Amino acid sequence: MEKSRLAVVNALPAPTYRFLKVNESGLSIPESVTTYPDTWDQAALPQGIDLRRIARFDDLPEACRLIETGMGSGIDRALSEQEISCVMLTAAKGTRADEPIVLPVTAACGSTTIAEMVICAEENSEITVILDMTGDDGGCAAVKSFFGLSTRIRAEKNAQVRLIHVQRFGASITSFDDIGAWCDERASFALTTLLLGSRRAARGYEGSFIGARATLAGEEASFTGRTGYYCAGQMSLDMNFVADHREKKTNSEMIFRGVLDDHAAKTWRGTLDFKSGAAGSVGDEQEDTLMLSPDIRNSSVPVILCGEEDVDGRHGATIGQISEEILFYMRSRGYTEEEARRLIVQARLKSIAREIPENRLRWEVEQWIEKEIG
Amino acid sequence: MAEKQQVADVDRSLYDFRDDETGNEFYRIEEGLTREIVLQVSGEKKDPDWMREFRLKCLDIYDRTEMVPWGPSIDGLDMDRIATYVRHKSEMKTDWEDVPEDIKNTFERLGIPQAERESLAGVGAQYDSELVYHNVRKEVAAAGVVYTDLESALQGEYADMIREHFMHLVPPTDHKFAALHGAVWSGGSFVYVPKGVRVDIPLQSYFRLNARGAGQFEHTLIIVDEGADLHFIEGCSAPKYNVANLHAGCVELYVKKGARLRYSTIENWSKNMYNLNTKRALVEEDGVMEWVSGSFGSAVSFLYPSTILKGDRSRMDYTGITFAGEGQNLDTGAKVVMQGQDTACVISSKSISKSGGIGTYRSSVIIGKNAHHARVSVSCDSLMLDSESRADTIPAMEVLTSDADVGHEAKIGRISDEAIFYLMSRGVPEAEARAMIVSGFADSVSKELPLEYAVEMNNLIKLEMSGG
Amino acid sequence: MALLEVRDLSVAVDEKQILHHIDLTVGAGETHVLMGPNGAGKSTLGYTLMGNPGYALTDGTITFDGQVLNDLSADKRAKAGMFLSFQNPIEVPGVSLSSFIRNALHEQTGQPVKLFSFQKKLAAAMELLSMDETYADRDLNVGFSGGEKKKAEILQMLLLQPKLAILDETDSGLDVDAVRTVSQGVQAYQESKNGALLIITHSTRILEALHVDTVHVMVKGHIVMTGDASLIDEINAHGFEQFEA
Repeated sequence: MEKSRLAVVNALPAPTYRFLKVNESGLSIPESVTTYPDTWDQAALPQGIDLRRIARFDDLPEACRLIETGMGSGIDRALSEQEISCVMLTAAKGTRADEPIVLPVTAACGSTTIAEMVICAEENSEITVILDMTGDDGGCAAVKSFFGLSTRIRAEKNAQVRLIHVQRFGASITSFDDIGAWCDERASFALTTLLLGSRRAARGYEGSFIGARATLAGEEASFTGRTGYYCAGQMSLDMNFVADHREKKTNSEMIFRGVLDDHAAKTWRGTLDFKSGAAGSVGDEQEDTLMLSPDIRNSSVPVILCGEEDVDGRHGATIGQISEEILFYMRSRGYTEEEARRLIVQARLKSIAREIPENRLRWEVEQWIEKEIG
Repeated sequence: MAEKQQVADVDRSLYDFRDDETGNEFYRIEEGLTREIVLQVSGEKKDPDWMREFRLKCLDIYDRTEMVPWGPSIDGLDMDRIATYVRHKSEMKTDWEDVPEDIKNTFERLGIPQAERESLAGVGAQYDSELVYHNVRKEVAAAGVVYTDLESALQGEYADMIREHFMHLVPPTDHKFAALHGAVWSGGSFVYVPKGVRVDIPLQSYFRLNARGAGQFEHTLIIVDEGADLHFIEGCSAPKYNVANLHAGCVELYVKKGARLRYSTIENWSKNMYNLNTKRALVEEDGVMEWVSGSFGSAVSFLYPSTILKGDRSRMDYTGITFAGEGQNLDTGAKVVMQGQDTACVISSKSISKSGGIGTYRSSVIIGKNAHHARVSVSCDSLMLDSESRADTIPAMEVLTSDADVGHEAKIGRISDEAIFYLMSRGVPEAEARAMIVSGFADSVSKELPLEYAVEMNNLIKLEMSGG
Repeated sequence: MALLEVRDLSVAVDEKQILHHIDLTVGAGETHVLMGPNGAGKSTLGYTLMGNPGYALTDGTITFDGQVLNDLSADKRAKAGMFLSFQNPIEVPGVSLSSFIRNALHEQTGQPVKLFSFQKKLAAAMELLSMDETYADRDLNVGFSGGEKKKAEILQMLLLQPKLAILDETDSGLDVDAVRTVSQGVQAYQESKNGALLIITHSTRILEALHVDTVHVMVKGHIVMTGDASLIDEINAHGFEQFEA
């Protein structure tokens, strides 16, 4: 029996009724792990971007290390005792990297992989990073695997950071994707997360966890989140997203589009937190969940916390099936019911996949959606 | 200027006056909560044996139940300083003239007897721990409608019915203050509306907590039998003291097949009150449960009327407004569990926060595995009137069937400058313009209330807006 | 044989009878106008012809191009050559306007749709309708203005080339320029494939530039009058009151 450490993760910023079991979740993090792949050292880097390996997470500057993440400090505590090296990407002042940096990572069969990375975008820089997470295809379901990724983003004044996380594991393996961003004045952070789940669950599957938190700490800082997920089989997806508005005229916009099939379960927590002093801020979160099977379980907790008068906060959620109205409209144009349904379901995820700024990966993802869904 | 005039018309003393308790007309139990005190309350109530045993069981549950780890702090509430039972030394009357003068004055100043003459089918008035007055119109009584205090009902022909329903919907294990309620409950009403009887005008219970450092623990049990229809109104107020008072009432509502019950509350407890109230309804096939709730008073409120839509095609509507002003932390909302097929639920909540007040909307909607075709629509709007205040929205939805249709919308914001400007350009002073907009915001609730209550609510809003 | 033959058609919605014993015949290439006051049941007829499952046929038959449609689903009717321009077009998030039409063409014809020639036709039709070309890649109807939604409906009609197009209040909510543009699109449809039209409207602006063969007046679920194009002027002058006996 391998050793592991139980971490409390994805805590709801404002706890509620206990019987709902949404206030937090638990995740066992294995103790012996392999860290990030060597191939990253050879990644093609645009001018002005530097990739370094830091021996220990604790060696990072505080400005990066102390950024709060969506899953919370439980992850850090579980990892802190392990010698996990960290990758630090830095975009030097004024760098405008046009091309995305693509970092592929494969969760090998039976492996335990945890990677920690920090993206530091200095003043007036632009950087786009794509994490392409895949798993071995084929017989991987028979063994237990674990994959974890922790990403911290520091966006200094006027910096623009785009982060794209795509998960396509061959079989569902226990995984976490923990993200924390800090945005200074007029900095922006755009996050696209796409979880393309598998009907097959690997042995010992405990769940898929995603947490993201953006701290909007400078005036006019902004956060855009786009999340798409397809959960099927025995998958269990546990999410916690927080937009922390601390300064004036900060903006956040989060969209979640998901499809639940078979026995899939999902818990989604989304919080807009307007702190006192965040005057003139706007926050919007929209959640759209499509349920395809009678055996799914969906929990949604859309929270708005507000300590400032001059804000505009909105949340909308639609949880249901494909509407009869849209089906009739499409059929009146000649689509069969089956085709219309297939198209609508795929469209949910394609609308998120569209955000991938790299042609080959976007094409692959679209192919995956057309092949696997509907 | 018109606004100032209107505000002056609403005198806070309307609710804030108090009767002196030092005379010997009052019986007051020792403060705190012990086995002896519970037995003493039980003795006062002339409980049947099962009830006495039940109280002791509840006390036991209370002692070993933790306070919930969420919501407002109740550190200011010290149970050792709360007298759980205070009674005026007079029996309950059915003729208003027989009610003791001091109590009669209290209710007359609150407009209760007048309301009864004009628009109510029956009235109950509770003063501290006991009902002091109960009356129901002849024609309503003739239709078989029972409206009485719970203690008399426990002794009479409905004893079995009460035993069957009492704290079955809200078991003492539900939470700490449900257990407390079970141990020391006193007063409240029992209503039974027989099959097919439609009561056209509302019944009302008015609760007044006069004693300082006391608790009120009334129990309301309503059974609306098949096809029957009832509107029940509950009003609450108390004078302000500088020590904590506690209200831990319990409301259990049974809506049988095809029946409809509307339960309206205007709560205006004083701002030293800890309002830890529990309300729950069980709705059978084709039944309709409607909640209308206005929360204006209390220092701290935990209030989430909950509904179990057990029967097919049953539905629930919740319309609520909460106004959290200075020194208030009001945590309100609704809970619903949908079990039957083709059930529907509409929740519409408004909240206003002002002068450092904290308003929290909290809810849970659970759609069970067999609740096919459940339809849910939730909307909550919060209005922030300044930046010292807080408005939080914490809803949760759990869906276990794929053919549900759930829509949820939440908005938070402030009064728009354009709206103020528009009204001012038509000659309305700014303060009045703000009050008008807030009243308009609350309109969805006030239009669900009978006229005189809507007026009372609007006056409360004006009072709060003027900082009274 | 006429293109569309409706015989003794009665329709109920939620068990409420809306249409009563409607007879209507539309020949190939003909343009018919269905007028009437609000709530007369005009849109109900449009939905019923297209096969909306919420509209129950309680009596009668619909024959289209020699085929009885009564039990056919909307997509089969579309394949048979019928088209309905919706009064309130539905938003289809995640599916672009161009791919929606291209897929629909593929569904209807069963043939692969050649990308290059499709794009050429699409661009030409969009130009005719004064639609900005960026709309091709936007999600269908999502965030479109009222006018753009109506144009997108006419665009679909032009590319799908039905035998009969039912236009349900396509001119409502449009400004003068937009009505003219939409009208040009409708003319192009009339001319190109000898397309038949059933135009549902309660105003007459869209009709000004069109050749009209027959006008029907519907009141309270009945067709109370059928005549030639002169009926339009009659209604313009005197309104519907004369029919509401």
